[in-house]
Amino acid sequence: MTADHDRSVTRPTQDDAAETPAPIRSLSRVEWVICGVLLVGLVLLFGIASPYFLSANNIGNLFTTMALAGILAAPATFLMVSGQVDLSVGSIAAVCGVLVASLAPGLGLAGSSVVAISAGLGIGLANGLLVAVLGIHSLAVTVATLALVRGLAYLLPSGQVVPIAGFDILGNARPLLNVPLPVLILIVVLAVAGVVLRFTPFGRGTYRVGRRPQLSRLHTVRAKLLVIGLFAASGAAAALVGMILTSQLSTAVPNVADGLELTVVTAVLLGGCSLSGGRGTVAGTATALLLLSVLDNGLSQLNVTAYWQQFAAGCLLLSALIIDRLRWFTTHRRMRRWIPRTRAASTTPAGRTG
Amino acid sequence: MPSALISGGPVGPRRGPGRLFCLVVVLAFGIGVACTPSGPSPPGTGSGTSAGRTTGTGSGSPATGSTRSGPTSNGTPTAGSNPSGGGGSDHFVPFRTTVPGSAAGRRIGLIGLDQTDPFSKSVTESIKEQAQIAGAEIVYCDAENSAEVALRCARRLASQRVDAWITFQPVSSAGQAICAAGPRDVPMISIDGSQGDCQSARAGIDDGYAGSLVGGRVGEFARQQFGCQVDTVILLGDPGHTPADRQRVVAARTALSTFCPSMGERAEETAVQGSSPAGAPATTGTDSPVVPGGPTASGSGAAEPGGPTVLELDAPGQQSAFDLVGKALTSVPDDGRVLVIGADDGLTLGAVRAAKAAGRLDSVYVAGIGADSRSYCEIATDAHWIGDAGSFPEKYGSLVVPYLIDLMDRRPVARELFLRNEFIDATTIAGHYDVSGCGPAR
Repeated sequence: MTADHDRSVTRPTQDDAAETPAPIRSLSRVEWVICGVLLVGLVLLFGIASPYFLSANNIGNLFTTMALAGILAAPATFLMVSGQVDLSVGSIAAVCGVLVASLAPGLGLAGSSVVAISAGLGIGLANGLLVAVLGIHSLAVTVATLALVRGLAYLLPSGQVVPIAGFDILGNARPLLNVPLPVLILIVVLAVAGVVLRFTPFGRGTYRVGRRPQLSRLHTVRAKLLVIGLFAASGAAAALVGMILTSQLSTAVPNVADGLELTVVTAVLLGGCSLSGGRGTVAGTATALLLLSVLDNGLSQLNVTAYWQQFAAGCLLLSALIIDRLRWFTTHRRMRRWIPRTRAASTTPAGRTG
Repeated sequence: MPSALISGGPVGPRRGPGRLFCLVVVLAFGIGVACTPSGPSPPGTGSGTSAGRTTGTGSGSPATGSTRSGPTSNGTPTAGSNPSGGGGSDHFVPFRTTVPGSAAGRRIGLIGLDQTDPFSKSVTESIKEQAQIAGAEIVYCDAENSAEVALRCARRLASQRVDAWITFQPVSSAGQAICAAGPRDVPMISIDGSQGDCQSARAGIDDGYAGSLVGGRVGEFARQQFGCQVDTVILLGDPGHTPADRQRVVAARTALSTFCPSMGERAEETAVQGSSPAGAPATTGTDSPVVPGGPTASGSGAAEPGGPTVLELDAPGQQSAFDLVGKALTSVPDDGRVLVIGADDGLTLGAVRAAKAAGRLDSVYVAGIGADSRSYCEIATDAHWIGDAGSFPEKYGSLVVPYLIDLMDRRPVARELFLRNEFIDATTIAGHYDVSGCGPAR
């Protein structure tokens, strides 16, 4: 044991690094400052450049558009913290929207809604099982699911759109303080997600799973169940988004939410999550999403073409990936310096607890 | 091993996000909540009725029941080539000259279908050009061929308080939702599909007429050239553009069968991709297919035995048309003749490329609807391209903008502004477009 211990002192292993307690991190103070400055700067810039940007109507539009990505970003944060990613959310949204519209004449709105949510849950569960039980990388699984489910979204209605009547409330109602229902749902989802991730054992467990080395991340049954549950939640959230879109359009369209996963992943990464897992907060994700939404909305107000907006979104995602990698390097270097000190402290007679 | 991980206790010191920036986020949400505008209930909420949006709006109600726009102060029918009728013939309206400055200081919102689609791009460029002549500012938003994006565009136009708007989006059944989200109490002209009860008028082509025109010409060609001896007839429609494409295909087939009955009732029908659109919405104001007057089919009308195979294929785009036609050609004998009618030029081009890839250019004859820039050279030089029912997208501005200005000035405008399609083939295309750089005929 002493020899093992001596070896661990001289050559800290990746397992040691992962198991060592670390603070919950999302954005550093500098990053928060940069986010804040960017946000305020963009608001000022667009507010000056466009007389309509700061209008009540436009702010309402901004949050209504943000609501769809935001509802998806909450479970995506959990997934990213646990070291996973779900790229199939846009496709799940599309197929669930198609389901609710197609089945409404036979099952009624309530029945078809239940089926749609169940379908989203089921697809999420399937993703989770493939990742947790078979050990396939979540990126590969969800890319495959993205194609498969999108294909289903086209196949089920034979490529047609499916109109639906009497389903306006979910996407258009303003039940409280004249706030659109999707925005209220967003607020509730983000609040609940933030509390759960930060203050509950489930949230702490998510961080623990994410901080383990990738090869041993899902070795325990509890970790597997956690990841399966997160994918299921992601699928259910996507189903909800699909239903909201169908309600807003009064029509199910197979190509809705195309590319929405890109926005979600960008927001999650920009908000402090890491592709390698173990870090991130819902607050960071929400702030990053707000930043992206302001940028998107402002560019639209200035009549910048959609292609430039897509280019900007891609640049932001790339920046987020680079920042994530730089964070990983600095954190890893700090860990390497911290471990020997910890090991050295525990080798003293007072530190040996057996 | 650190005990914290076993016991599930706190995992080390926590450093949460900056309080200041949490405050920023909360404030931002709060401002968003407080600033959300009040307005009438969205359609279907509570009362179960559609939003009380009056057609025609306060800026100019179309004359209910009237069919023609009367003499206006906004220009005269375009002199010279004006395929769109001589001013009120049948149910077609003429193109008009936009009076310079007639909309000075006004802002017109424009939701374009898809900038990457040549037909749509021609339409939007034409509208922008005419709006510029009129002195109006265009607030443009590209719907990217997506109803979801069109909805966001409508919301944006509403926030920018335009004086009128034009929509050209792919999903008619989402039109009411787009109406509800878009600018209110201002005139709106929709292009091609109906867009709900906020639209003041609908501009574009009569899909049934266009389909009949091209189907009739193809039928005439087949009878004259081959005595209707054709192996396969392929009709291509885009399921994403129902019901317009569906009407074109049905009308084309009906007109085809008036010349070659074997291509009508008794022919086999196979929808290779997708079936008839059970979920496709009916739009308001849709005309039934119009069969133009012309040569009637000879014979008793009874189908000839052993008639051609008729395939109605749902192809969402040029690439899909290429794939589907390519597959269909594999079941046609090498010396078999194939007729293809595409609901738009993209689909027709896909079919041509498939024929080329299969080495079957000599036995495949095509026709389409639209005659946008993609097809000019093909029509001019390819002997196997029978022709197109020209829709003149480059002149849509001369149709939409003057009438929209009429609406803004509260002058009556017909509910449907159909331009008359004209059949354009190799002998007539030079009279419409510059094809001098297209090379020799092949």
